[in-house]
Amino acid sequence: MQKNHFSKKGKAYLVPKLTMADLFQNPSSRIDSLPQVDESQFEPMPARYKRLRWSVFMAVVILGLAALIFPAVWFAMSEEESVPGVLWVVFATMAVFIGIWAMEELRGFPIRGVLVRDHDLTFRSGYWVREMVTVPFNRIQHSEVSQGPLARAFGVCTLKLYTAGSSGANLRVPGLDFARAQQLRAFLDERAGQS
Amino acid sequence: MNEQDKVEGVFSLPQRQHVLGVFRYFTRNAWLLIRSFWPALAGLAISDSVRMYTGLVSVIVLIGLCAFAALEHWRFTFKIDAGSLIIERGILERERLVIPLDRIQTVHTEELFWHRFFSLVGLRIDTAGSSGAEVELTALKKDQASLLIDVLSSAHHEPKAEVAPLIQLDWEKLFRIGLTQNHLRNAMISFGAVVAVAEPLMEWVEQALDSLPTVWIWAFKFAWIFAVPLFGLFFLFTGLLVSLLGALLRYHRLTVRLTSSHLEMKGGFLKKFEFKLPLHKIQMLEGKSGILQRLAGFQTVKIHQARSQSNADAGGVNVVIPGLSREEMATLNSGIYKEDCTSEALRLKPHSIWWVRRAVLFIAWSTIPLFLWPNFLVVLFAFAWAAWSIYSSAMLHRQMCLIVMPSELIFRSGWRVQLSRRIELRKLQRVTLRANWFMRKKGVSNVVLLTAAGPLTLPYVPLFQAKELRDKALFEIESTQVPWM
Repeated sequence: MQKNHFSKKGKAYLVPKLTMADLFQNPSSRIDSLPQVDESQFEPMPARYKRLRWSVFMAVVILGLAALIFPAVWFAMSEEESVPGVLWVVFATMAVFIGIWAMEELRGFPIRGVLVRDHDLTFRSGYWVREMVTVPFNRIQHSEVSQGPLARAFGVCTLKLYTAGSSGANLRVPGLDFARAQQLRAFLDERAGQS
Repeated sequence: MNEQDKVEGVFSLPQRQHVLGVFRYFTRNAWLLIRSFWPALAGLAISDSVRMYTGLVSVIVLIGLCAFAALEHWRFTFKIDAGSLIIERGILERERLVIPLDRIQTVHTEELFWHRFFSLVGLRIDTAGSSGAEVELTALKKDQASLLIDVLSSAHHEPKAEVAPLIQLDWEKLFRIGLTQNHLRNAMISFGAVVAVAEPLMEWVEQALDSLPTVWIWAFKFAWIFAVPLFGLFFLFTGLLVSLLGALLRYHRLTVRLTSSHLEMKGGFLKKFEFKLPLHKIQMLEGKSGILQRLAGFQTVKIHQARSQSNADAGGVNVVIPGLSREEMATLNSGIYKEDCTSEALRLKPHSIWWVRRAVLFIAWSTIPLFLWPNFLVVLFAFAWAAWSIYSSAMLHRQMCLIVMPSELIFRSGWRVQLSRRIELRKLQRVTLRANWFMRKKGVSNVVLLTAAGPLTLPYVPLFQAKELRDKALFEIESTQVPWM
């Protein structure tokens, strides 16, 4: 409870009498003493999103292999022509591509996560190219929750945050639970409104 | 009734712009039409079956544009009522815009070449929250515009003390600026333009050559080698001429004044302009100097606003100040920013592996022609390219650094063309750390600091420093109570 402050003449002041030190403080601070983004606190993405990503991966791999295997079999069965070299090159390229993508899914998915702090939101993603984007709430122009047919089938959605300075969404957080995304969006709008 | 009320009374009834504003609407709409439908127009020009209708289509489009411009002019009215500027506009969809006079921040004037024949002037009115010009009045009589500017600026009771210009370009300085432009680029542009229009002239050239005596043709066959240096000289001379002309058109009688709250600029040759830019709208200050400019002892400054406001199509203004000396640059910096760049400021540099990687990548490109055409000249070229790649990468690395001050950043880069970009940390929009697998193994990361005017990327910073920089930037953004724009 706030105390009344009285002058010598007994008049009550509505606000406490402040000294210069109360009005203005400018303590020196080391950079390493500032609040830090704690990377152990990231909230992981839901398992449904993992299933969606693996489904897309498997679909692309099966379609890609089918597109290559049919001509390869046709050439192999043909008595006049052998499998052309270019097809082997395409096979090898695809194998490398599948390997890189699989590694991204295997090792990259656990890295994906969101960290919501009092004043900002950070999204971390990527195994081959690790990216950590932080958007302060007081810079958000508007936010959006979008859900395509595939995402709807798996019950996830994408949260998009827009700031000034570039066209399109500046931060996309794909794979959030729909309810969680709505909750997060409401929280962001509230915080952005306060700042 | 005081003088101000009398002046406001002049605009109390709805008024239209000068009738020649129709011409401005016409040219603007025609340009928009061409820009939006240029692929279709190119198709029309190529297709023989459609080209026969060109005349008819042109007439219809022309009539449409004229009618639209006239209607647009007719439906646009403005007046001042109860301390607000009230605009009504729109043909099918009517729009009523009420702008309180105290919200108006700047009024830019623009005087195009044809404006001057009729003593006209265009106005662009910018408010605190708008991204670009909120309203554009395309053609007003000068005395009417002057009265309107007085009324619109009346809400701001700024002391109108005369401020000495930061820079005022006379003919000598304009000439020096022209001399230090990028002549090679200008010559290439001119050459490209000549090539583009050369095809119709080829027939004429062939005819001219046919009419020459045979002995001249023989002389040409052997003497062409002497024409090469002449052509080179002509090429450079053209570039120089274009540079001088460009400098004259853009910066003729350019005067820049820096007050405590605004940057005022006026100048121009064919298109005269005059505007005031509020200092708080500046997102980034970019100094740029090429080799010639450094020899002449000055640099060009570009002032970046939020991207939407630098877009001229959206009514924004592109602010470039050429020919600033070191002292003038220091004055500009101290007028806009509050901190001094001392030797105690923290300096971050990319890890040395950055320039090694860059050089290796550049050299790798040169091996492709070596495999395709393995001969002595190509080998020689590859070696020269490799040496250049190593040297330029090392020089770039040497020059690049990020100076971190308590609340501001200066990012220096480039060695032939040196760039220096300055921002306030509190005006940043977001921060990204990005590192690929190889960079993570080396313990480095790219730091991308995004401002409303575009990104600043410092590559290959040691990871712990990158994180500290991010945390500092976030602290500055999140703890400030001052709006970023």
